[in-house]
Amino acid sequence: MLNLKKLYSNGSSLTAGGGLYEAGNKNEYKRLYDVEWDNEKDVTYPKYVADHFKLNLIHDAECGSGAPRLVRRTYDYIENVGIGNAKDTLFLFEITDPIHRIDLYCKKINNHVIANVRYDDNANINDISVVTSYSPTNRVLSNDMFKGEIEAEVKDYLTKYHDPVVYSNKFIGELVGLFSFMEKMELKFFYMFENEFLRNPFKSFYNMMDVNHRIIIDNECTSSSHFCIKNKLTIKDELNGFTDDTHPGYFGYKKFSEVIINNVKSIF
Amino acid sequence: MKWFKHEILYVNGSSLTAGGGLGNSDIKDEYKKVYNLEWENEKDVTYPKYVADYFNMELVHKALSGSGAPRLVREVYDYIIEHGIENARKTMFLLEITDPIHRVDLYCNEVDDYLIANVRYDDDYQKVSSKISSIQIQHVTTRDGRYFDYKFFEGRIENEIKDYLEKYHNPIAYTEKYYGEVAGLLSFLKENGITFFYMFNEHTLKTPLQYFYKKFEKHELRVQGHNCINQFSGINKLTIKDELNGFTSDVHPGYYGNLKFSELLIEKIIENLKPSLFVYGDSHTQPFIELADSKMNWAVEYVNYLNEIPKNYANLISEEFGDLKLINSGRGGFSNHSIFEEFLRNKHSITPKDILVFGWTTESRFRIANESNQLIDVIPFSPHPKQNDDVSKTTTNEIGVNKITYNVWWRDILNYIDIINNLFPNNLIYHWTWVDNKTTPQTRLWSEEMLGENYVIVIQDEWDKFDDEMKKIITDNADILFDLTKSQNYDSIVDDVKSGKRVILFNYLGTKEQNTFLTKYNFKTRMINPTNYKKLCFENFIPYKKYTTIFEETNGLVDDLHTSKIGHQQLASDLISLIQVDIKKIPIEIHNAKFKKTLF
Repeated sequence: MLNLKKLYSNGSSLTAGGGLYEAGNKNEYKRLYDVEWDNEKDVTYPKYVADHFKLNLIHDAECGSGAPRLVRRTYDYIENVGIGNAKDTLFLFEITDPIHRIDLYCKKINNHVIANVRYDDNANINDISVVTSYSPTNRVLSNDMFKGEIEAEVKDYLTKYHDPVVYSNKFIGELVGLFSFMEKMELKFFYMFENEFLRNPFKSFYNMMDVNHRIIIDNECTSSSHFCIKNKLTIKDELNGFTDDTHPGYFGYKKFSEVIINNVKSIF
Repeated sequence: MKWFKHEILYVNGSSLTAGGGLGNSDIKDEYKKVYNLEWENEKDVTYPKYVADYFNMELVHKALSGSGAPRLVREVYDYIIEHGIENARKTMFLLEITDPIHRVDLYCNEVDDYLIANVRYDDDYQKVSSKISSIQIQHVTTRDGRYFDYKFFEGRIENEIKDYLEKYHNPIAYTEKYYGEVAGLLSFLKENGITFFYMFNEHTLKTPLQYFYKKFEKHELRVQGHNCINQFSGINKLTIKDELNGFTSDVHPGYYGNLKFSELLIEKIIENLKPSLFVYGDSHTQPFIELADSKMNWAVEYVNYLNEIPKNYANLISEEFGDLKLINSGRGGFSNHSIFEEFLRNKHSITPKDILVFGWTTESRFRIANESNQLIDVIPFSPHPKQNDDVSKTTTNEIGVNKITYNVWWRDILNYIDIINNLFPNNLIYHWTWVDNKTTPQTRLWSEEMLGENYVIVIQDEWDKFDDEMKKIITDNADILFDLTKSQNYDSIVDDVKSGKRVILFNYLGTKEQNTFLTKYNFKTRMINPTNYKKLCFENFIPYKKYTTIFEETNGLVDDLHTSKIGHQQLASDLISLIQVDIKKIPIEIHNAKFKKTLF
């Protein structure tokens, strides 16, 4: 058994149970498999991993979240709990590109929000949504309060003072900084990258880090998403096409948690 | 500065580093008037320029007025990404870190680059309801060389940014983000073996992570106990205002403030980066002055002959590289065990920048305990007194014979080298010995017991790998030589063994067939590993040379075979040549070179 007390998990909808909060999907799971849940995070892989190792779970993943929020929140967590408690924590990161995932502060709610931005072929913003959480289970503020004025202001500002590629590049460094800091502080962490974009400029660094920190799935898969698509364990697969949602499904998460558990066991 | 390996000085920081105020034409005129000093570019009279010039480094001066930690963090990563980790390891990073609270780093599509927005808040800036009282966008030269002055940003752009920051920026939350980011950057530099030093203008970013900064203390540049150049110049009355006798109220570091600060900074950098030289060995390493003072006959005679106390190789290396601090642990009569133990004793003083030289001695020396429960080095075959009443000189001489007869004793040194290299993987480490490199394998392979009990000798490894000398020794020791790889009648061997013939089986490769044969007849076997440990050991030494002895140098007037003054010069010259090349290498190159030859 791990000599740790907590599991801190951060990532995107692929970790947060994206799609599993939808009432229609939940009903269909109940109908087909007689499985049900209140909070979708309770049926995601971090929960199963935490339960397996008897760890208290801090499930900080959010739909729409990317590397910027992950870096900020992880440092915040370490600072808030203190280094002693951080050393009792197993960190599990699922890292997605920042390009559509902006982390910004909003004075109106005195907190950070997630701004998901879509661009057209000319890199102009054609869609934006600002939320604290997409999940009806876990959000504390209605997403409606950001519709209209706030989304328009953020869109206007981003149009003039934001370049998605420049923004993404910033997190190449911030991520290696976070991992280096954690390594220096002897914290225990694992990561998965959805793709190689954020890793490529520091290949030699990651070659060194990967040995003890990368979740190894198989040659083709680097994330829960790849794993569930390959193994036909997305929500769409599990619900036989009831929805187009290709987020990891209920059984996908269960199966994927075994991969994580084996990785953790292999290192500790 | 022959020990200095960095080629580039990368500097980032605020106006305190960028020469804030010194670019102002009124101030420049006043310096000309008062001190007859002038300059074109204010960065040419900042402390980074003096530091770069002193160490003969190319300067990448990225400090800018108004800049803070956010821009610094981003730009350092960008620089490393652009130039690669290997080049970053040849660069020294000097970071002056200022609080982010008034220093917002933001991107502007119209300029197609980042801007520095200096923001002032009203008195309630810690409250969410606080307002921005003023904002100024600093002039910028973009990556592609386009220049935008302050005026370009006045009005529309400043208003847009101010409006956005009022609603979507919290100076406290912004600052808090950089607690981690700065620590992350410093960790990254450290993790990748990149040389860096930092100064914090204030403690805001450090305080929440004190446990972290305790581990990074040796990277912090505190000059005269001051956190940063602004404190230094303020306390020492070396601000622009002080130097110009109140001509201006600008309290940025002045011309002399930068100059004086750089001098002290250079001392700190030297203190941090200059290697010390640790040498270990026997009387060939111990300084002549110590040997003469301890009345060693040969040393006294030689010093009298020369009429001077000669420098030994360690002194010469230290001088060549600019008076490196020398820690000489050589002691006359030391065995290799004592040499290694001396290394263990002071290894805690060694830092990764230090240079280590081991002068190994003859393998014949060993240690026994004396009556005082101390380990005493024995030099066999010499007229030394008995070291313990229970151990006769015949015994010590027999052990000495055993030690020089079998080269396996050199494995001790190989083991020591392996431990030393692994304990200090990034240090420059050199091994040498005055012992002749001639390798004479043992000539007798059979013991009386083996002959009496009908043993067979099995030679491990392939015959072709042995040199002619070893082949001859094996052949001379065999009545029957049997090649295990050739299809022969194994059973014929049995009679030869039983009849007392000396049977040596060679080309033993551990195949199933060979093992079956050996076990079938229940032979008593003695495996011989033909590894020549002495030869292997010399592969880990600097290329062997016979250095001039005192006997040779004095034409026999001083009858002693220790390394002479000229010999020490020869040895020093060889080591200096190696160090001069290696000292420019980055840690990973040193590491890789060191582990190309290993026993295990």
